Amino acid sequence: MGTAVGVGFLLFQLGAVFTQHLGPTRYFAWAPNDYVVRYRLTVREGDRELAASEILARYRHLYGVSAGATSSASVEGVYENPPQQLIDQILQYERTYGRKDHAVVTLTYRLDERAPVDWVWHG
Amino acid sequence: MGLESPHSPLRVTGTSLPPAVLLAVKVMALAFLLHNQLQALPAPFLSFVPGLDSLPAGGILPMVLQAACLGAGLCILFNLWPRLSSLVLGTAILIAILSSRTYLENNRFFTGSFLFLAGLYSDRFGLSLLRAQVIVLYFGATLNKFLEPDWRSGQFFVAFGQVSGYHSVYAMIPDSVFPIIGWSVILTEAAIFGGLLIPALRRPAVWLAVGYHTSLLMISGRTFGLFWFALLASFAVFLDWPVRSGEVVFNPASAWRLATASLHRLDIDRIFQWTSSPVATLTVLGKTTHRRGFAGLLTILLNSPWAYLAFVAVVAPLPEHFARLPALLVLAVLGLLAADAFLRRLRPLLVQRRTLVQVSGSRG
Repeated sequence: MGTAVGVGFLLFQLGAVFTQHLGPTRYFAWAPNDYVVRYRLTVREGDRELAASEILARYRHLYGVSAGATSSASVEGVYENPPQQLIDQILQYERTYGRKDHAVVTLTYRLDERAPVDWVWHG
Repeated sequence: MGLESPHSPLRVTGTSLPPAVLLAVKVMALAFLLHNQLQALPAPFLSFVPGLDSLPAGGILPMVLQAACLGAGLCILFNLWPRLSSLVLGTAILIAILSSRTYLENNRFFTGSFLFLAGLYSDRFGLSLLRAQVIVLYFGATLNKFLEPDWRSGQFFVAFGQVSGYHSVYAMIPDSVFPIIGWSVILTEAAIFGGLLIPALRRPAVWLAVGYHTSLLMISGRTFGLFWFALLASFAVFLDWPVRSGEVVFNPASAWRLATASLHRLDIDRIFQWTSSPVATLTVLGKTTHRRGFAGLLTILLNSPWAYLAFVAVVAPLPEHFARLPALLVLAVLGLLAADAFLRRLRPLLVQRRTLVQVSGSRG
């Protein structure tokens, strides 16, 4: 029984290794720290820009290896997984905890120092 | 509780787990407890499992996980139900990952997975599942890098140079070198993957992997959380460890007597057979090799569970900016082992050449 569970667990991982390449994420696919995503994140609720400290509190531990407030109203950091995983976390927050805030979230990122990409969410 | 007790943290024999597996899970448990991982266990937040972070009782989950991890970690260290305790610690880490996307890191996933599989160990299937876990990791890592254009083109390293502390060093590297670096990494991980699959190549693959990951630590200055500790510990399941055929011949009156007596006393698993001799310098006699003096000492240390546990106990709590120091030590040991292996292969050739010269000289 235990061995069957173990084999099933490894097959799940092997499945993730293959299937995750069909999309933009790499969850459980053993792609450790294979990306350099420099990003800048701002959040607006109505007419008010959230302060950097509020953004940091909003998406706890979201930010990868080195995130911090670089201005009063934005957070910058480096993320080491595919950018879609960062977006997934922001989306999940905004669709659940932050659903009633109707926030506008702007994420500007550069994957491996390529051209900047803007991703905007209107809550 | 004495050193000789069945529950001594330094003992890796006499339990339901093979010595290599018990050493690996002990290293992981120790690193987990000393690396501030207990405090990092999350409250459910942005969970992978829908609804898990909105459970009314979710608030107590971190406390439950902390208690489980602390209890199971200590049980592993003191040889109390080590297989069950590995299952509990591994499961707790995996539950923590499922309960919070922000807690997911590859190092935690690997540590949790290995401990979980160690908890499912059975004599019938032996080390297969644990070896497969490490092989799946290298397969996934190789495949991902191979399929990412930025790894094949070297663009990843251009970006890495921008965010690393060595921007000026990277700026001096010609653009044409970055693809070579990218492909070197891909091929190194592919070689480790292939080597771990083939029994005859397991040992060189393990040494390559230890050197590779320790070099990454030297370059980046990061252990990547638990990764360096857990991955290196997991390689124990690929080696015939510990070597049980060794005999240590030592002189109880030599200048090394204090060190020898300590090593003898710490060999509580009786990995070596210890023989005193009034004339011998410290010598380790293997099946085919004799290692004297410092080389013998190194052989004893590399086969001593306490040496690995002491290393982790000292290094795991250190702030990350000190991580290069132990990495340097590991690379130095690897260098000595490589030099030793090279000289052992060279010596017969030199003896053969000397004999040939003598024979031809006597004929002349």
